[in-house]
Order: sequence, then structure tokens, then C-alpha cells
Amino acid sequence: MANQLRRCRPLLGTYVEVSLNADLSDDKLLDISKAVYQAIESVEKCMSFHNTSSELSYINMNAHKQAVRISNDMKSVLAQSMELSQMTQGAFDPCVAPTMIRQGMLPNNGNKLGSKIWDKKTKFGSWHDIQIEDDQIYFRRPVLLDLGGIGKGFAVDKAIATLNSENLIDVKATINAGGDLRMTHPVDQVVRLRHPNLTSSSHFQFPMHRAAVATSAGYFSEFSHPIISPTANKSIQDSRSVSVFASTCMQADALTKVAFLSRDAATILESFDARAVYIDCEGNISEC
Amino acid sequence: MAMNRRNFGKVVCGAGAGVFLPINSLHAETFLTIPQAMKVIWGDIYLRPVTAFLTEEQVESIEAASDTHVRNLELNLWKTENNDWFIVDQVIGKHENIDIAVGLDHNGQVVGIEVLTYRESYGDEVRHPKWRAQFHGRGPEKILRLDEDIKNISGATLSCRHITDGINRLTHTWHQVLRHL
Repeated sequence: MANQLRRCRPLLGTYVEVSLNADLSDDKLLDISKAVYQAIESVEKCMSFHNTSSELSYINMNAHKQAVRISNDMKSVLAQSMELSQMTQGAFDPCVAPTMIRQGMLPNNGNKLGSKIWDKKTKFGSWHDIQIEDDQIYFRRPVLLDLGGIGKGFAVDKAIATLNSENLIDVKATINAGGDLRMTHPVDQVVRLRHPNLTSSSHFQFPMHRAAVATSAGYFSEFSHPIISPTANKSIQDSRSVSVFASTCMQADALTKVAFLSRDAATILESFDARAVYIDCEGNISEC
Repeated sequence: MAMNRRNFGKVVCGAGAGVFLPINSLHAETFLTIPQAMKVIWGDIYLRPVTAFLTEEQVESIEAASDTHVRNLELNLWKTENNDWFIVDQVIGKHENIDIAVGLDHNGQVVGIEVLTYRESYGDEVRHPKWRAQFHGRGPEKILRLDEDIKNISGATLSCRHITDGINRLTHTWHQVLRHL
């Protein structure tokens, strides 16, 4: 007899929902949801910019002084990030934290730690200054990495992976971390994309023909657009939303930035077997 | 099942640029029930219901300490034999109204946060005091549940900072009121 559990917790700075459908008891579904959230928490602990004790913060503080050993999770996310930086020739660049701090989107943790590692005169580097060899990372000059988007997608992928064992193969799960969504059984499922004009209170329904989808847009940001142009060193101005369907959530999230920032977006998305859906303020839809 | 790019394009376009769904301007999603949240946060430990109302002085004190607004004078509380707490509360943001369950241990530390019901509205109603008023002073048995149940929404990231403010208010409430109960 099919049973369902829906759970929602604040994590990763947003709301992380877990929906489980299976022929299992309430207690068993709760146990499965606990394992799912543990996976999300482990990524938050590793990659949170806000947390001064995270692995990311340690890397940001130290990797320009000496090579830092990185975890497998960090390695996976950085590898994807560097690949996209190369493919987009820097249109995708995770080293945009200094601009985000300046715009008030991220905390200035350098101040909090009383560190004199950087000050107003510090010239921060870009993806070119990142060197990764085996399991070590080194910055040729100070770099501040933000993995907020791509890390969120990775957290969803890692959480879905907790359901990979043989005895959980029939569990139908959907994990939605603030719009970064992935399903174990996407066939015949639908997703709803918000109309960028929020006061219209409507959604567009699309079939879920990839396992994951992620959306980027400015309609929830009170001040600047959440996407930073690495070349202009400030937020973009774009009233559209873009949703990318891809086989993993990490790819989907990272490719939403590519969809906004890169002139070669269509080609790059195709190489990942991904699709983008753009919706403008009037509800007009275009795809690539 | 992998689908090649051409088929995917046909399917997405064939959906008529998506199906436009104008909905009521209020939408809600429900998650754990209160008993489920109790189990998640405190397992099988016995939770005794406790009645408490904030006095004006306590409200002022909590608001000053937490820099938040106290909307409900009635607290929905349960207590363990070890003086740990299970609290059901509401957090109201600009467009969101959220019922949460929070576990605080006997030192006032947060041990769990669960969203029970999430409601949002982007219509004009959200600006009217009367709409907001329907959520004031609601106990768990009167929590508004709606038939509208739209799942699987992929949108831009909504910050959960209102939850953080709510938790801050509750930990100050513990400090000023609960630990003396």
C-alpha cells in the first residue's frame, strides 16, 4: 500500500523539501528522510560561505598561502566548476564572492575572523588563479570562492544518492532545495515554473524529462540580481527567469548561470544534454 | 531513460509553451503533522502540553532582545520531564506565512526545526490587515489548511531568513519565560 511522507526544513539558506512515496511504514519513511537530510547537512557544513568553520571558508582563508587538501565532495564541485569556467571562458566563475560581499549578498567573514588576510586594497583573483592537483587546491593569489548555487545542486544530488541502494529502488523521491529539484522517477512527472511576475501568482507546467531542474531569477532578491557577471563585477539586470533541465542538479544549477551569462549557452547546454526554458515578465517562453 | 535532444524539444514545445495555470493567489503546502514533528524532534519521549500566555512586559522584553515582532500572546508548548521543549509557532514574512515546530533543549539550544505548513500569497490580499489577522492567535488545531496543494515548484531561491528571525524570537522567549515555567 503506497505511503507518503513530505518534510520541509530550513537548510542551505532556503527551504529543503523531501517527498517520499513508497510501500513502506511511516517510521521507515522517516528514517529514509533523516538520511536524506544528513546528506544535505554534510554539504552545508562543507560548502557554506556563511559558516566560518566550513571547509570552503578554510580554503578561502588559506589556499593562497599554501596548498590545502580538499574532500571528495569539494573536489567534485570544484571540478564541475572549473570545467564550466573553461568552456565559458570565464563567463561562469565561482570567484565572485568579493562582488557579492560588496553588494551585501554575502557576509564579510574576513572581518569576523579579525583576519588581515585581505582589505579594501586586496585584488582578488579569478578562476585562472585556481590550481587543483589530485586532492589539493592552491590559489596563485587571494580568491574568494562562493559555491552557493552549484553547491546547492550538489547537495540535492548527494541526497538523492542515499536512495541508490537496492532495497530503496522503489522509493519515489523528490528533493527540492529552494527550486533546485531532482526526482528519482521523473518519467511522466511535471514541474511548475513560477511566472517571473510574482503578483500574477501563476505557474507554468512543464514535463520533467530530465531528472533535475534548477531555476535562476531575480524576483526574490530585494536588492541586486543574484547572478553576478564576472566580467562586469556586478549583478546582471535581467527580468527573465531561466530554468535548466539536466541529468544532475549540480549541472542544472550551474547551467542556469551559463544560460544568463554565456553567448555560447545553447552549445554548452547541448553538450550536457540539457535544456533551458526562459520566461519573461509577460509570460512569454523561449527555449534552447 | 535518456531522451535525445530532438525528442525533448518536441515534447517541451508540444506542451504549448507549458500549461498556464492561473491559481488562487494563496497557495499552501503541508508537510509533517504535529505528532510526526514531535517524533522527529523528540522521538518517543513523553511531551506534556503546557498552557502559557505572554504578558505585555514579556512581549516588550522579547521584542527588544530579539529585534522581532511578537504576534501571538498564546504559546503552543509541550514539555518533557527533562525540561526540554516542543513549540509550534508561526513565522510571517512579506509573502509567506509558515507554521513551524521547534525543539529547544533544557539549555535553550535549538535541536530541531520542521516546517509544518507553508503558505504564500503574492496577491493584493497580503497587504490588507484583515488577511493577516486570520493567522493571529491560532492554535495548532485551528491552523489554516487549504485544498490547494501545488507541489514541485522550481523557482528562484527563496531565503528562509524569516525562520531565522522566528527562531531568534523563540530562543529569547525561552530565556525570558520558558525556563522559568
